[in-house]
Amino acid sequence: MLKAAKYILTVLVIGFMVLIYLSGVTPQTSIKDFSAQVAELEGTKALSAQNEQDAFHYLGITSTEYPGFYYWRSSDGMDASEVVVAQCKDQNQVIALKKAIEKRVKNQLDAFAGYAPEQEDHLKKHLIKTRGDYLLYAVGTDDQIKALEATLNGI
Amino acid sequence: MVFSSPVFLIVFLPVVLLLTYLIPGRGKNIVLLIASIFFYAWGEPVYVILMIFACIFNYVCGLEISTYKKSAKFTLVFAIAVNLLILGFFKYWGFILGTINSIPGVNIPYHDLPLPIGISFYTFQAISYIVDVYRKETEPQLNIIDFSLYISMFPQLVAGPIVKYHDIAEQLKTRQLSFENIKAGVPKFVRGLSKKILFADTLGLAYTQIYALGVDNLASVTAWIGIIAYTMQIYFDFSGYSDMAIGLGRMLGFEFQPNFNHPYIAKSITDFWRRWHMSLSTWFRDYVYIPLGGNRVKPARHIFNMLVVWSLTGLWHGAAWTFVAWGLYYGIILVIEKYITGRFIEKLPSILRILITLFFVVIGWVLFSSDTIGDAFNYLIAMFGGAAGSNGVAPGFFDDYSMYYLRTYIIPLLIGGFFCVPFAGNLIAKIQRRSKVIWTIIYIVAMILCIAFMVSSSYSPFLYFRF
Repeated sequence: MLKAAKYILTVLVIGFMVLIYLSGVTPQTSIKDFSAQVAELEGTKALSAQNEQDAFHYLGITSTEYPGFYYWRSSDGMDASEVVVAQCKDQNQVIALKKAIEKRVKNQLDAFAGYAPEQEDHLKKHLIKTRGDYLLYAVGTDDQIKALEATLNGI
Repeated sequence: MVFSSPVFLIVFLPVVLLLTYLIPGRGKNIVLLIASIFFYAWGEPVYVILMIFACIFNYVCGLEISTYKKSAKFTLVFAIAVNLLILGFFKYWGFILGTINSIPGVNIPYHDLPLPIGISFYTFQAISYIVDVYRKETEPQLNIIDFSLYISMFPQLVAGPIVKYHDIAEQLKTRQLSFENIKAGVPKFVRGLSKKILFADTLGLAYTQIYALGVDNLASVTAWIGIIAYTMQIYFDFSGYSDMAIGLGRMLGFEFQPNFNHPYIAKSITDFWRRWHMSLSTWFRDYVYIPLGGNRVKPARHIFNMLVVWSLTGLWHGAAWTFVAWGLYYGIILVIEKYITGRFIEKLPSILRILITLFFVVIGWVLFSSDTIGDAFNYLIAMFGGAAGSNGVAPGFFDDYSMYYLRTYIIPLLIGGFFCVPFAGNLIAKIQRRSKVIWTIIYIVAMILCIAFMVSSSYSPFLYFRF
């Protein structure tokens, strides 16, 4: 019984490892092409492209550490809309970026709560989606979010 | 969940302590096991399956080794192989494939996997148990709850120290919980939290900012400020986490072995590794170095053994050539120290020995902290004033950035340095003996400062989580 148990457990864990591996495949489209598709969307066109200093200031991350990092943000202080498209070095960086973005959303919610209900609603419905080493984050209207999600699904 | 998060400090820890103290007898271990699984699943909802597998699989193999003597050796090898297969798959898959793909003409498609937090620590604990049972140095654990608790116990689950089963076997069965445990554990925990929040995070920000300037753009002084900040960050980060783990363990009735002993006052590299991450060094000594023959072999074989152990130590820290180089760097220095310079160094004044050791340790952290070997090499060049400057203008020895970072971080660096040496700890111990009130106030102030920093800061990585 003991002897069989160790083999059964080993088979199960190998199956788990295969599943985990298959679930994290990165898309074939390059991050540059993906970001260009995102930049062409109507919602993103209304935003301003941000640089490394902005990424550090607003998101608390060093964007140069990422193989690909694109950040757009509304220049209107009363608008919480923003979009991030990133390619990470590995899944640990994906997790770290996700955490940084969650912190950003929380800070933004604290800032907008109470006096800008529409923006607060957008922040609550924010999108963080990953495919392999790619990450997409967006705050915006439902239509903008749907368009962005479809773009990620389409690559 | 991390120790330095409000949810851990305000909700998780008080609830677990309360339940552990209220529930009688063996129920305590069940509470702790459930709490540990919840703690892990909070951040790793999928990978908790791997940890549960490690608990059941190694429990079964331990029993089998002690029950079926004839096949014990096969079961030992099988158990170690499966443990290393899982560790290797999640930690080294990308590294191996990336290395193979660097051969011209080879392009095997692959992608990296997220590293399950703490996998290096709990895998090594599991292997030490299996080997100890095989060597008959310990009895197999018959109770799966107790064994699973040994593998998954939340205080040391994600960043060590690596606890050997025989050190804790008795405590899993019989341990006393009293107010004395809380009294001893809380200051240790607060000390660790302060190291992490007040020092490691502050100094870590200095290194991150400096490294982000680009290694080609660093003036010599800037590069030294950066790497000295990193030297302190990694010490405060890891020893702080170990202190928190030991303090938490104490509150729950466990006595874990110390993991650090003021490594930056070491008088040789050999001495440094007796003081730095002691639980890992003793693990490699007991389960790799001695089985290879240790030092009771001919010099050539001894050198080989040392280089193997140190390459593996480097690889354990991360799946990258920088870590292998860092491990080999120490392997080579230790060989030189053992066979060439050891006797000469012993005759030098203590302060000189400390400074020489510290110099080599700091150089080692350049390898450890850089993204690539090339970056490490360029960082070393920058430290000695040779950076070329990405815009064609060499930054030289000192520039505006040097002045900025010196002004910004000189105070944290000096305070950090003060707390790296035993003097600060001795001073606090002296205050404790003279006035409990002042000593208590110091810890309360430290705790308040930590909470204030935690709430306001967005930068709080745990460096050793990635190992």
